[in-house]
Amino acid sequence: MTLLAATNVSVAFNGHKVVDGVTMSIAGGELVGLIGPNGAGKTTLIRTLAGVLRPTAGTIAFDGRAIDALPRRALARRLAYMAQGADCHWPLTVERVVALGRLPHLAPWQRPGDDDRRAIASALDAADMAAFAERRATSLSAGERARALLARALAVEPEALLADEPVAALDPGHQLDLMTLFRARAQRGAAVVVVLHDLSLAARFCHRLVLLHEGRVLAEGAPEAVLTAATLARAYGIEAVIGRHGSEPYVVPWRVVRAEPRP
Amino acid sequence: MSARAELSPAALYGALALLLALCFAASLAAGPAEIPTAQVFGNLFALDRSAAALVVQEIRLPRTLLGALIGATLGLAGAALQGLLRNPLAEPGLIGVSGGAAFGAVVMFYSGVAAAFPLALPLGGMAGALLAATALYALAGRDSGILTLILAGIAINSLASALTALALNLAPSQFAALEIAFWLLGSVADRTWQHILLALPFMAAGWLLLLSTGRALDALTLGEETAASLGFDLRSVQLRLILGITLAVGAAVAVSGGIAFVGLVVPHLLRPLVGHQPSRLLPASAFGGASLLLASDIVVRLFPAGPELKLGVVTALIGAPFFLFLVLRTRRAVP
Repeated sequence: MTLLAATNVSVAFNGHKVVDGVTMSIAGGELVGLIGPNGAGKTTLIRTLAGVLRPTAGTIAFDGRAIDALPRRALARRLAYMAQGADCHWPLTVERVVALGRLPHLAPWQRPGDDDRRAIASALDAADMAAFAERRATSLSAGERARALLARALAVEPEALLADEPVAALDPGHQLDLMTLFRARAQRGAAVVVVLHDLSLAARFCHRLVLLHEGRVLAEGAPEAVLTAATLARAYGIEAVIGRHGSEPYVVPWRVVRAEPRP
Repeated sequence: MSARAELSPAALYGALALLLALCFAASLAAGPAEIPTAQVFGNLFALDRSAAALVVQEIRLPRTLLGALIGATLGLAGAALQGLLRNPLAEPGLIGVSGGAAFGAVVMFYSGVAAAFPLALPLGGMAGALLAATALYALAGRDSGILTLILAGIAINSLASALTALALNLAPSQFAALEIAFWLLGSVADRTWQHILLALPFMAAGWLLLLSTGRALDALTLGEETAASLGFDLRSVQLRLILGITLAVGAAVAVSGGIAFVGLVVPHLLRPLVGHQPSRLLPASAFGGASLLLASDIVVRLFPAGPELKLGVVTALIGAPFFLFLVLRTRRAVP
């Protein structure tokens, strides 16, 4: 069942449309990859889906209700968003960072209770960060930090989990690690949207891909249907080796066939 | 590295409350009138209108209480602003409200109103703080981010300092200029219960607004987008914070003049003890600021002879080297 839906959504900055009439939906239990070249509008779209940015036109609906009609905190209890390149500004312990995910569940002066402590522990476990609970978030490696931030999002116990380039700075092992965690969260019923640049990760882990190009949806559907020679040439201006390893597809970008148009 | 320096909340607040109580008592006992320490506390509640009772009740108690309130305000405001800007170098003066308050008070000096009506000074200060905050909100309040807020604050601060300098420059006499310059150095000497009654409501309202932002400041640790996705309305947070600083710090500067470094050093010093968590730093910095200000005001009174040593001078003399020490220590700790 559809949990998060964008209908004809446009977002403009200073009259320039960055997202232009996008319609898409994400259901519970589904891992959707949002792909596209730099400047295609991926970050703007996922921020709009997360309710952090208001669309200029069109509507975002969460569980059948317009997102503007939902109280901010009510949405924050059900949807978690991992911003691109998010960092920890103060050297909090990992456990305290993860505990921030419980803030939407607490009334203004209410102290965390047993439910909150259980959610924090289970988020730390799920992200394999329990052993790091007392470490300073600022002293972690990039891979550990990415898992800590994921645990923060999981501590919300969200029905929808949106992540903007969560694996961008990670080595291949940590990338696979994190994608497995996103996939597992989808399998447990959450609607998960991940912005990705690595097309093989997108092909292998996502149930469905949405390919953005110049603010519009260029292709949408199963990875094999979206990642074709024609769409890759059109969206990215590349020729790619598209193959299969066992039953799973992979994509290796090979050469530029057309310089991206520059403004 | 784990959270070694952190204290449990009970231990931390116990220690801070004890420190504040000691500073408060020492401040009551300090002063040029020689009253044996044991009698000071007896005279607090004495009804006999003796000279010693009057000194304690009408001079030392208001001075001490006002010092504690101002110190708490500066510590709390500094911690809140550092949390909002996620920068340990921020201090309450940054957004221009203190500069506005100082200028408002200086206008009262300059126009001669202060000489005729003593409470015109703090009232002018508060008007100046409100004016600066209104300008800040007009420039950076609506849809702009934190960078615009800082830049607008710096601009307002510079303008207020320039106007204050102009008032000094055009002062009708050297004596008037000296009076203004000395007031700007900051002091809680010779303040009365009227000053407290005037400033306290604004400070209390400001404190509540600042304390209400604690959890939003925690969320801001992970950046503005994450905080927004955790259900916090950042415009409301920013507005509450500016208004809280305007009311509390505006009232503090209006009754005391400029007191530097408390808002910068205190949060910096206490941050490791609260595990660097912005929300827990707010009340801790209020206690710490009150203690530091009272301690500085005791130092002021250790030198009774000669011209009065100004409180703002002492806090800066203690604060600046201490801050330098902290910076150097942090640089060594973090490669």
